[in-house]
Amino acid sequence: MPGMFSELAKLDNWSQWSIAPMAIVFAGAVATTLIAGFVKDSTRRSFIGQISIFCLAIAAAVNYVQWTGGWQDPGRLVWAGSMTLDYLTMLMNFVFIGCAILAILISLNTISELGIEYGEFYPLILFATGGMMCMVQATDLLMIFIGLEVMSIPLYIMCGMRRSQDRSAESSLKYFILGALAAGFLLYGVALTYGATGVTSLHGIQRWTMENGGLAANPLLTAGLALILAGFAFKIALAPFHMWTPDVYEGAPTFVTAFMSAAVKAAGFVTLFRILVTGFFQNGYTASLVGWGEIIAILAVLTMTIGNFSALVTKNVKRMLAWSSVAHAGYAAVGLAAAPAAGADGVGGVLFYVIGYALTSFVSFGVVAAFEKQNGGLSQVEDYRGLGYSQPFYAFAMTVAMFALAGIPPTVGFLGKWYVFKAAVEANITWLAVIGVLNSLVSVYYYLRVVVAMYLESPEEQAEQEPIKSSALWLAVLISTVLTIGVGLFPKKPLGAVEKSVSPMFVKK
Amino acid sequence: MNMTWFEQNLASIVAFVPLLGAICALLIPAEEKGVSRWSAFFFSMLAFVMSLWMFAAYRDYSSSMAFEVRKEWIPAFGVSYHVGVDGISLLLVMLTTFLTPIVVLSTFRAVDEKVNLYMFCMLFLEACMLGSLIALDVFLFYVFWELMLIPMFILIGVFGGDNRIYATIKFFLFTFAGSLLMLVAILYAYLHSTDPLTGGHSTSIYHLVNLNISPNAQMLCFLAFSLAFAIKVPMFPFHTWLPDAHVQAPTGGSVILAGVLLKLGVYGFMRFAIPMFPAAAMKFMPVIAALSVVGVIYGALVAMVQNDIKKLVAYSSVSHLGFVMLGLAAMTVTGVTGALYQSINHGVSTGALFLIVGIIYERAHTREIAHFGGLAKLLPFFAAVFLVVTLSSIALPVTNGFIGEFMILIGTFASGTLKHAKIMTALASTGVVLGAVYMLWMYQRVMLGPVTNEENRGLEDMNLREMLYMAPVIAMIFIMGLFPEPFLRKVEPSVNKFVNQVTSRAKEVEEANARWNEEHGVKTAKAPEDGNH
Amino acid sequence: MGDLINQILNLPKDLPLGGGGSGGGLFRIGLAHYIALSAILFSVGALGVMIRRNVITVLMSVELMLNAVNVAFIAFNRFGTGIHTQNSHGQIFAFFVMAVAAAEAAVGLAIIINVFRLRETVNVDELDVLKH
Repeated sequence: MPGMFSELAKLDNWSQWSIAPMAIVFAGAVATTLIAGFVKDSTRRSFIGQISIFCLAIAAAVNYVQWTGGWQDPGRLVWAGSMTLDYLTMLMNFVFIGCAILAILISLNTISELGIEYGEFYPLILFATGGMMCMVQATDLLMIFIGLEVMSIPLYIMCGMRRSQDRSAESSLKYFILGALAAGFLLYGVALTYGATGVTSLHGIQRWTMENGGLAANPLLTAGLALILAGFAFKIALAPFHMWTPDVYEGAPTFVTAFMSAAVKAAGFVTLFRILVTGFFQNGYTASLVGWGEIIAILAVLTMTIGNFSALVTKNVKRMLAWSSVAHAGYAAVGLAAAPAAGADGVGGVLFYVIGYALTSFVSFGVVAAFEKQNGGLSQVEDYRGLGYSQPFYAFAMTVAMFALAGIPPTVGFLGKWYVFKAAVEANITWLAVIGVLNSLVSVYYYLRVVVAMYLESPEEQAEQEPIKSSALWLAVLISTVLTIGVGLFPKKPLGAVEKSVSPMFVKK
Repeated sequence: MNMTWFEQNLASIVAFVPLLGAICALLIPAEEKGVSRWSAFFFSMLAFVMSLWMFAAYRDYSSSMAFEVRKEWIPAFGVSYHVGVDGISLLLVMLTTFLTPIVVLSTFRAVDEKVNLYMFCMLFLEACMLGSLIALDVFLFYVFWELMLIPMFILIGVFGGDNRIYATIKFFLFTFAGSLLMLVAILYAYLHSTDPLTGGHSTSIYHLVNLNISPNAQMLCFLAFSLAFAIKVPMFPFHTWLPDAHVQAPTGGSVILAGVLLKLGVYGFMRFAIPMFPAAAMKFMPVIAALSVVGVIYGALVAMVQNDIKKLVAYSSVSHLGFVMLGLAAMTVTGVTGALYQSINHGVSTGALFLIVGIIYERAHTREIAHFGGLAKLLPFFAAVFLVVTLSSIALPVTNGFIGEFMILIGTFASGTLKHAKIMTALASTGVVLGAVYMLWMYQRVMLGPVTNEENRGLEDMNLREMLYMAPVIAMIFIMGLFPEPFLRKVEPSVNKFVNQVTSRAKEVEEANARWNEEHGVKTAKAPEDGNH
Repeated sequence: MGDLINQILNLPKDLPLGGGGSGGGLFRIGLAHYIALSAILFSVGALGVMIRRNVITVLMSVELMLNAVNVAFIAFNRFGTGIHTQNSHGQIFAFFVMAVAAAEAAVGLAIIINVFRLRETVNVDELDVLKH
């Protein structure tokens, strides 16, 4: 039997070097699992977090070496064609590592405030990060699936970390059931795709599609694509597969929510467009009946509208942010819908949008985390009244986040919107851009409501608005706030990186 | 001409001095109210001095922009930091830097809480306004244009009246709604532009004035731009946010809102909407003119029945800006120059009116006209100042308002491109009369006659600080009324160029559109014929 | 029936067949039958996830879906035409699916036990604190 095993034997050093950052993260995960078992004193477990950050920093350093020329021939397939190390992977590795570090920083002190200082949190977040890195690096549906599961299973657990709390347990259960359902859809899609083409590697699917040009009418492949789309739509919360999002995001501990809405969404989007663009798209020819661009355009409209209007009537800040996260998946999907016609601009828009959104969601959820206590804390919009004067730093950060989410310049949120709507206009689906901007108008109202509460209203009785005292949390919010504005003001380098990452995907081979 | 680095970057410097001041305002602790106030005054005065320098250094640059700087900013989107000043923006820049120190000075007593936040907003707002006035890149303009909402939002929302939250959200949503569609139009225009240097797209205004897009797209894009600017001006059906915002805003906010912010709408038409889509603009000019005339008369009539002085002034703004837009719609050199001049006048005189309302409100804590009466006897200085400003607002000769309105009416009457120009001029002229009626009636009820309300006897006259900041305004009213020449001389070459460019370009585009329609019209006409055979 | 499904699936008529193959018509078990089985299993599983209220049953339905996937993979690998038969990707995939399904079940059952401890119910309709 030729194939995978014989090719595995031919591995060269380059193959191992290509997955070095991911391997370091996984090694860290295993090591911290072991260390966590030996630390009896629960108050001292935060040093496991510091070890995790150290591991992530090493992985980032290795990744940086690869980015700056330590990896020759980016885009070359390795590991028997199931992995690649292109600039897209390297960029996303930075993003995932950054997200994990920020999430750990937020968690370091809040985790004990919530009474869940189990040492397992840190290995779990490392495993999830490694899973994302694997998912984005993979060019074979099998590896993508494995990455997806390695990412998802720790997340199910992390959502339920506050296990004595109803909401957290329920959040975890919902996420698990819908996640498993999504995995089922995805797998069946992969099976049908395999049935139609005989391969599971994305390049193999692409080659097969090109050689059998008439397959726009192949129902098996179309069904496979549809199911894969549905599976990913669950993961990235595209309507009508978004129902779990508000519940899960609200119930999970806030640092987990932040990590989910930032990193998981980014990983899902990037993997989705890698599958679509590499596997199911070739120079303007989409291998399905209707073309996935149109389907995603419709999903985008639904997602934006449902997300924004639901957020409009939500009073709980965390839940509102969860709905807004649904809406933002819709904006990012606008870029994806434009990708068949706008090419690298569409995909670049998605990439830039999700990275920008990741930054912003660390600001907003970071602030929510700062005021989340074992029993109570601030949850409703009214609780934030007067925060602008009692807690100027966190209120300012929240304001920046709100304006960035609303898409007001000069924040990264505005540039992201500019990028995806530009792609939509370029792809001649201006109507989608118009719906997008009208949706931003709706969204501005509920984002403003938070700002209004913080600065324009005063609390009826002086509510307690003490944040959790944690310099790590403060640092995480500061870093992401500065980046939200900084990238918005000086986006030259980040945009360059995004372009460098996505343009090879559209080069004729 | 050998320009120093300083002079070359003067436009940017004028805009960034207030930004520096805003950052300083944030760093000053809240307890140090005096420091906040004086530092804000210092920075706004510094900006004014810089802009005076700019005014002096400005020569006739009819061929290009003055103080032009272009630096790479976001090459991926063809966006550059491209700024410059011409006659059109020069006077508006001057107006902004002139009004801000006055406003800062006027709030020394009125604002006593969160002084640093107030000063931050004021200076940040000034920086944004100046930024959008000097921006020659539509992306840069949009950034400042949107950013401007935030300080204004806080000014109204934190320092405003009882119903401030409603007013400020309405203000924010209205203006934001307009600019969102403009964003799509900007994207569309940007994607059809070419930068000959790079071969890619560009957002610089130089590359956006010769777009090659279908007639339909021109119409839609122009409408999208117009909506954004018409809401800001505000033109007749989009004006409903303005009275709310004005009534709730603190004095300083009102002065800046009426004085400069509204002019940015007019400026947007002149700098972007009309030059980018000249043919569509010419087609819509009658509509704009008609709406302006409606605005003139409607604003005046509504102002007449107001009980609240501030609301009256707010509606008078709707009326005055109707004049401005009419002059612009006429597309004659006189009309457009008049419109620009009247913009400045309105900024000065309505700004002054709001200051006066602020002065009286600070003392009586009410703005009801019925509460007052016969104040002239009690507050002689105040009465004199108020009278001058009122007369300027109704455009009495020797005041600035006369020059502006006169030029607008003449320019519109002589317009060759505007349909029914004469009727519109005649109708607008009634607005002048109505304006005199409501302003003088208000003055009479508040200031003249016997003292009707004994409570008012305790009111004190203007103090030194108030006279100090009203003095330059009064001076400007007469200077601009008696010696318009130095101002018009700076404006006219640019306006000349603007009008010529737009009208000639409109003709070109019109021809291109006709060709385009012919090509496409032939196709659509032929199709049914083929079907018949 | 087999031909009909073959037609729907757009597969060539002369697929290599499994089993003895001596019989004809309905009893010639081939790819189409396996795919039909897997589709039915998958639909039953998906429906189960959506309509059953007991979380344990829901979990079992998910497992059913994953097994449907396995059936499809192995059948395609065994009976497919073209490159299918030259590699064993389908069978390898099935192994991974089984392993992942086991991991998911382990975590899932732990989550369910935790919920049951807190709420003393495993009915999804009663797990609704987050809606309020």
